[in-house]
Amino acid sequence: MRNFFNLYKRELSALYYTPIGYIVMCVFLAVLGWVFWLLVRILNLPQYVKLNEDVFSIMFGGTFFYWIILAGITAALTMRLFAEERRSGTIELLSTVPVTDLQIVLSKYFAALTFLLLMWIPTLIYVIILGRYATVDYGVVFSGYVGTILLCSMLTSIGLLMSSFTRSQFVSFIISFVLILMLFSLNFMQNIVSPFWRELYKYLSILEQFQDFPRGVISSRSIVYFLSLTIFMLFCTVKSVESHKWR
Amino acid sequence: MIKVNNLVKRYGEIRAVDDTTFTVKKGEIVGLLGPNGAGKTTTMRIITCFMPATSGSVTVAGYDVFSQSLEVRRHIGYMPENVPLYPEMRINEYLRFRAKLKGLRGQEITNRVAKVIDACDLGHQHKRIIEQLSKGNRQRVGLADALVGNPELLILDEPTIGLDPNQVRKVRELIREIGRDRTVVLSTHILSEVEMICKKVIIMYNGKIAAQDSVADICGGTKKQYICEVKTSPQKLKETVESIQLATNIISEPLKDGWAKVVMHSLKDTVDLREQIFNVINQKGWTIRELDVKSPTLEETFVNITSK
Repeated sequence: MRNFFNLYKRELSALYYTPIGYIVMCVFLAVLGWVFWLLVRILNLPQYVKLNEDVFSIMFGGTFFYWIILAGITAALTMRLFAEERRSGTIELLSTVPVTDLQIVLSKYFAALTFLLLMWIPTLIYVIILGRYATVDYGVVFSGYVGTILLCSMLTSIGLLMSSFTRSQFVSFIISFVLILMLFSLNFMQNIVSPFWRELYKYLSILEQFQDFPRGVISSRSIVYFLSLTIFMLFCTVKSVESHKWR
Repeated sequence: MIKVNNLVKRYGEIRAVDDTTFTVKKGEIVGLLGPNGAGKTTTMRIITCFMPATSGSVTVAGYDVFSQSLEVRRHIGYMPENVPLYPEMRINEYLRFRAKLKGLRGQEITNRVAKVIDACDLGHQHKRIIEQLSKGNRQRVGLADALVGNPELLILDEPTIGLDPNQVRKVRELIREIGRDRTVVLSTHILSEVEMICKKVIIMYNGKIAAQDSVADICGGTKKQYICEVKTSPQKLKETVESIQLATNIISEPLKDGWAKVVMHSLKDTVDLREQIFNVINQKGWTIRELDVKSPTLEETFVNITSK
């Protein structure tokens, strides 16, 4: 546990020391702020007011921006975790001190996840702002954030796994970004495959599993889905890190 | 301290380490020599648990590097080749981080970090960011890192590469100091360094061990050279010396001041030829001004072994 916290602290501070963390944070907040402004403006147009849509049920997963920005920032935040360590050779320092591969993987994972989740804190301002001028369904806000946390956990584990495959940050970024987009696209795929596969695609589709959260529903099925995939990805990462020693 | 048995490491078709066996005793300073690509770094990486062997076994302090790797790592301070470091950290911050990883606790961390910073001469710049350090200073941070856990066994991959002569001397002193109560294995290309600090030398060539012994014995093992300067003509001197049965490779040459010099080897390394040389020349009544026997230097031995 001591090793974990020590490594975690270093990983997290490395994210704050490097410009990439700040670039990711700026892009993320700019896009989300813009989406919020856009939604408020659009939903106030006369033709939409009568639909009585909630801003936050659209903000969480209801726009194209939410998905693309999440795929982009998790890929960008996780790309250097192992790739950089292997490129610069510092992995040799880590694998020759008495720490286990599991501790290394978990510390990197939680550091990236912490950074990612802390970025969401400023978005609470939107809730406060909107709460002052309109009625906000806090249930939807809560479940939206829970869903986002689960989603971020899973995407981070995918990015971490991809980073452990390569020593190039760029390659890591591209493959995790594409893989995440492919997982999103399973939702559309289910329309063109046979009924037998449809269920599987439906179950594996992130969009499908996520859709309850913006409605204010936290379903155990989705929680199990996100957590089990996260744990599976982390398991694969540990094996991937170990496998460098077999070769 | 280290026992390596029939160690083999293959990278695809290439055998980087090929059936290597050696032991390092507690308290020894061992120099691992060899041309580039001889398998030194690979051997070190296997001992430090960074990569597993293809076959063969390695134990450190009685622990197997493959099955008891965490225990082994507790006993080792390792400085990898090229000294990888986290560029965004400050020196003292980095060393504290490493000390914690190596299992130090509380006050012990502060004490050890202060000690290694002092020992590696980093005191005046311990708050500098590693990225901005010169090659020599990075090297010293790497060495401080290897030392910070107070390990019984130090493994240093080319510790003095990239340092200026003064720093090299300091590092050498430091290694000698550490070697008093600890085991040190270091690889280097600088042979004079090995002659100065190592008790034992292992020369690797093409993944195999070409020679291993103390520095004196490794050089003595190859042919000793006898040199004699006599006041006579080179031709006469050569003929005279040829009467010695064990003398071989006799070369004689005139010197500028009218003397002659003869150089020869002995067929048997155990027999000292000096007495016989003196006697045959003395019988002729010539004057001798030099009679010497020279063991080849480590460098000559190294070239001899590794250029076959």
